[in-house]
Amino acid sequence: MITTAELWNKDQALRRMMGKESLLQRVVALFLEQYPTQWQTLRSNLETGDLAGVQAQAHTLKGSAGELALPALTDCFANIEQAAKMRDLPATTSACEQTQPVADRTLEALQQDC
Amino acid sequence: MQQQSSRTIQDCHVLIVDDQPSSRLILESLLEDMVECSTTDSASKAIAFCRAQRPDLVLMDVVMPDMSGHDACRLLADIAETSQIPVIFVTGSATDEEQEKCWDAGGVDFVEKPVNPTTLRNRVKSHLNHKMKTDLLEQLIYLDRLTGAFNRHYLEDSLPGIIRDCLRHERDLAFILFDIDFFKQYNDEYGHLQGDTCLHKVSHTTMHSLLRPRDKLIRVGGEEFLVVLPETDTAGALAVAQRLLTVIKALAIPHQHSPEKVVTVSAGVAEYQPSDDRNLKKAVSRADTALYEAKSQGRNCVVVYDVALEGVSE
Repeated sequence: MITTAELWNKDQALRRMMGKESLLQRVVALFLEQYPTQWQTLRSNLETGDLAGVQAQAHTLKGSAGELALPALTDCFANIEQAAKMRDLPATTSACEQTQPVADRTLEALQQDC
Repeated sequence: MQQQSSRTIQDCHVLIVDDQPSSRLILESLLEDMVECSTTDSASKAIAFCRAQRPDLVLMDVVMPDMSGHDACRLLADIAETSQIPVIFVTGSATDEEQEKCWDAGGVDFVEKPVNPTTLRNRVKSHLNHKMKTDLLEQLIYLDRLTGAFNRHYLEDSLPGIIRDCLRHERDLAFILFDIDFFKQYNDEYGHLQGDTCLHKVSHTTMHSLLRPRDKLIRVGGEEFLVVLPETDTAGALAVAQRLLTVIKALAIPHQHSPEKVVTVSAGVAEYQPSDDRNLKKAVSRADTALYEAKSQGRNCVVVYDVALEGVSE
């Protein structure tokens, strides 16, 4: 079971933004706003077998999750990116399925804390 | 290189290129108290920005939809006017392979995402310091100390690259050659110190009237200046020349031996032609022919080169 600290290391996120709480809030808001569309794009790419598209979208989401110090979600997107890079459709599909519950809990943690 | 005296980091300008709004926001927020920042969301927009604005440093994302940061860096290095802008990659991956790609593309450094703010700020500071020192050295080599305009060394070293760019992209390139009317009489009447002041004023007014960073003012002789106008046709150069005549006359520097009773200039306009075969002298000599005609027509005017003038100047 992933702990809350593994979902979001808020202290680390704040350090990455030089302690600027308002900046962190703006970045979290941007993430929450953009995530549904970006995840949907990734899923659409997967459904059409466009693994290059999946790889690019997973790379973007990995970067965004990393900026906010979301370790579990960052790992999930790194796994998707790696599987898509190998053009391994079953592994990519599996990695996406494992990501969904982690993403749900991460977004919930972000919404609660900000 | 800018035609101005030495600057501080606060005067420097950094371009942040990233397709992700959150990344742009974070990078800009981490640097905005230290340096002027601009942001853009694509590599192609970054290249256009660099051509127009000449930032001192570019922070470049690697993976972007329209063009990779690596390719953008190579393109910048290939354009004469942007080739000196250092690029730091901000990359999501720092594998050996990725590091090699950053160096191969011509980047001066890279910072791994998620960025450590202290590392980012220090890398940016370090490269801006290096850039300012390089600019200063180039100023000492290429700038005329009296007028602040570029000198002949700059013309000889930089113009081949500017011509190459224009030829490659099939873009126009125009020149204005102008000099101060009755300048010998001015020096005789007011003295050489006052003559130097006059040159300084004319030069600075001209530089402020050139609206794009890529437009260059070069002092080619005593009171003779060349304006290099990339991506400009004859009509555009004529408009610039007429503006220069107006603003210089408006300085109202007294000159009792001038019919206008103030300092004026005469100008010749010519366009670079592909048949010049990269021969700078041919293009400048056409502007010189036009300038000669402007002098013959009574000075304080602009003449555009026409082949019919060749017989006149000879």
